Amino acid sequence: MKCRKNLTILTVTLGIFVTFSMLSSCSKDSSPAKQTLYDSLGGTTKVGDPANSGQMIEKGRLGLRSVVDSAIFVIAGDAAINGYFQTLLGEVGSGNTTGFAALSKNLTDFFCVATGAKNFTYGGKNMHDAHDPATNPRMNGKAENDDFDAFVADVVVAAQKNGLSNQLIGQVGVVINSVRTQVVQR
Amino acid sequence: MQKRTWRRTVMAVLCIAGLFVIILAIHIYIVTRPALIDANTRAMARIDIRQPITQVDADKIATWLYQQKGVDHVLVNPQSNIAVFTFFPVRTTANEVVGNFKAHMPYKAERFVPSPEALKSGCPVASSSTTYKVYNWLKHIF
Repeated sequence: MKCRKNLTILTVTLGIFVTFSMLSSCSKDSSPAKQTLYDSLGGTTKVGDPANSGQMIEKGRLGLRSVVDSAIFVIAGDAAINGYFQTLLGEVGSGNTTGFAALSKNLTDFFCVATGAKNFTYGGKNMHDAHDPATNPRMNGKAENDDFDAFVADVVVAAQKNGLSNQLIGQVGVVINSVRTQVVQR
Repeated sequence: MQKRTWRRTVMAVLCIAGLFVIILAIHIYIVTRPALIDANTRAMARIDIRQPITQVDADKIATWLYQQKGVDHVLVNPQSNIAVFTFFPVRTTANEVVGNFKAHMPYKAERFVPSPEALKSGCPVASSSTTYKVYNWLKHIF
């Protein structure tokens, strides 16, 4: 008698648990995952990496890297701000990666994370500390709005060279401008 | 008897821990050892043109640079009189490209090489030091 009672209670409890689980998973499935800017730029679909034969790369990362590499070229040729980026002219030495390759990778990581990519990490300083001479000895002065504007303009030129739509360029611009107050400290 | 069992257990745990430390050390070495220059490695160099240039000149310079062995990508800015290009160090050197440019192109030009002090300043975005590499790997694991 007591066993039957316990079994009944257990069955009802399990039934309630299973019902709630199914309802909650149904509600999760009914709302589609929000598309991130990274998804709009190509997402996680793997494609062949044109810069590293035999390797695959996420399409979103490839798109961002193409824009970053183009932006690096534009910045390197822009007398207004190329003084801040002389590290990318660092040569191959002591078996280390080149200045260009390091900046390309690091900026690409930053933009991947900032646009919603899940499979990459940015391990550098936050934007405020990275641009504060007190916490980053590499900064030999605080950045101004003109410098930031020049950076944004160069990224826009690079994005246009890579065929991004005006809408996507605008969204990338919003991401970049979201860190303006952290970067510009003068 | 119990003491011996405890001793054996502790020894076994220490051996396993030691093995993990060795595996960790090997992995840290693999992750942090200097990257080798390979066929995909690209470096960037800059040529400062010591005279005003037009867009036509910029196009000629870009075309010439693209024809050089080992040059990957080129951008010439006629406003700042700067030409930047990436190249594959396994195929050529920046000095070789710039030397050929000065010998064969009718423009006054010099290679711009940043000073050691300049290389220590400015934007690297994220560190590429050994400590960062180990930190990044540990973050990836956990």
